[in-house]
Amino acid sequence: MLDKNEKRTGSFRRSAGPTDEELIERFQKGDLYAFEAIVRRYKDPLTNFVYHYLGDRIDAEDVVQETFLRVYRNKHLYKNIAKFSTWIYTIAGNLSKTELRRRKRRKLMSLSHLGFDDKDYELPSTLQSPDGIVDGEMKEETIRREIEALPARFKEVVILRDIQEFAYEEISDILNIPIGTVKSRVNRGRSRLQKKLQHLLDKS
Amino acid sequence: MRPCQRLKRILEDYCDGELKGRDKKDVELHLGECSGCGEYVHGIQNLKSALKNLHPIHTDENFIILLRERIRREAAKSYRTKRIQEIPVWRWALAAGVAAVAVFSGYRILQKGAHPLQERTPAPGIVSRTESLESVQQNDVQYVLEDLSGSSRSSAPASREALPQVQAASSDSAARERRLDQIRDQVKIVNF
Repeated sequence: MLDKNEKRTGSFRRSAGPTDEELIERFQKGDLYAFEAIVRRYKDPLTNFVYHYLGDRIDAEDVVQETFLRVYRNKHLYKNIAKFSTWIYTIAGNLSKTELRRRKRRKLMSLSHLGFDDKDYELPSTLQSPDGIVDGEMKEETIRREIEALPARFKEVVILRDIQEFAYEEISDILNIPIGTVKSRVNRGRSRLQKKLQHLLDKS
Repeated sequence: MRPCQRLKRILEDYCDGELKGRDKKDVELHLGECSGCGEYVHGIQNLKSALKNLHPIHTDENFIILLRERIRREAAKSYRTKRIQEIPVWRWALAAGVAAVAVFSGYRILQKGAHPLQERTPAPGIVSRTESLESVQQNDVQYVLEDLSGSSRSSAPASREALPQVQAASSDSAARERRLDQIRDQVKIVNF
C-alpha cells in the first residue's frame, strides 16, 4: 500500500526487486506470479489515476480491472522498447476516455427522455459553505471535483504530472503527444484549477 | 499582479524543478524583485502542493480475487472458442446436413398435422367420415319428414317410437302442420 508521503509512481519502480520490464518478460514466458506482482505494484497508482479522471471509485476499479485484463490478454503485444508503466498507463487512459464517452452518451440519452413539465428542478450547488471548506475532507473533495470538471485534455496531463508525478517525457509517451503540447496543457490546466480553487489555496 | 509575460514559461519550468544552475539562480533573483512573478510562482507551488498531498485511495481488498475470477472466466471462454475453432470442417458439414434433414422432416410433419379435418381423397372403397356423417343426417331428416307427413308410415323403421309427441298430435291436421313446421325448423338448426 502506498503511503501518503510516498511517491506515487517513482518509488515502486526504483525499489529493490525485479523491474517492471523483467516482470512482464517473465509473464510473457508464462509466469503467472510475475503477473500478480505487476497487479500488486500497479493497482493503487492506476486506481488513483483513473479515479481522478472519472470521479467515481467503483467505476475506477472496474476500469483498472479491465486494464489488467487487457494486459493479461495482450501480453505478447508489449515490446521492451518502451517503459512498461507507459504502456499500462496508456491502456488505462484509453479505457478511462472510453468510459467518459459512454457516460456522456448515457447522460444525453437520459436528458432526451426528460419531458417538459411545470416542476422546477433545483440543481445541487457546486459551492460548499465557507465553514465546510475548512474541513480537510471537504477541501480534498472540492479539489477532486474541480479536477474532474476540467476538460479531458487538461485533466489527464494535470493528474499525470502533479498527482502521479510523471516526467513530461513519460506523459508525452503515454498520451502520444509532443512534450511542448504536454507542457502547454499542464499550464493551462493549472491556471484553470487555480482560478477555481483560489479561495481554498489562499487559506492554506 | 500579473507575472512578466516573457518569463512565464521559464517560471513554469522553475516550478516544475526543470531549471538548473545559473538559470535557476537568475529566476530566484528576479523573484526577489518582482512581486507579480513571485505571486505567480507562489500560486503554482500552492496548487502543486495541494494536488500532491491528496490522500491516495486504495483498491478494495477483494480486488485481486475479483481480477483472478475475471481472468479465469476469460481463460475458460478462450478455451471454448479455441475448441470450437479446432473442429474440422467435415464435422461442421455433417452437422449442417443433419440439421437440414431434421428441419425438413419437422416441416413435413407439421404440414401434414396442421389440418387434420382437411378433405383428403379417400382410397377406393373407403367412405370418408364426413361423407358418411352427411348421408346419415340426410337419411334421418328424410325419415322424420316422411314420418310426420304420414306418407310413408308403413315403411317407418323401429325408431318411430322416438317421436311420440308428433304421433299424439296427428289427429289434428292443423296442429300437425304447425308441429311439422317446428320440426323442420329444428332440423334446419341441426343441419346448420
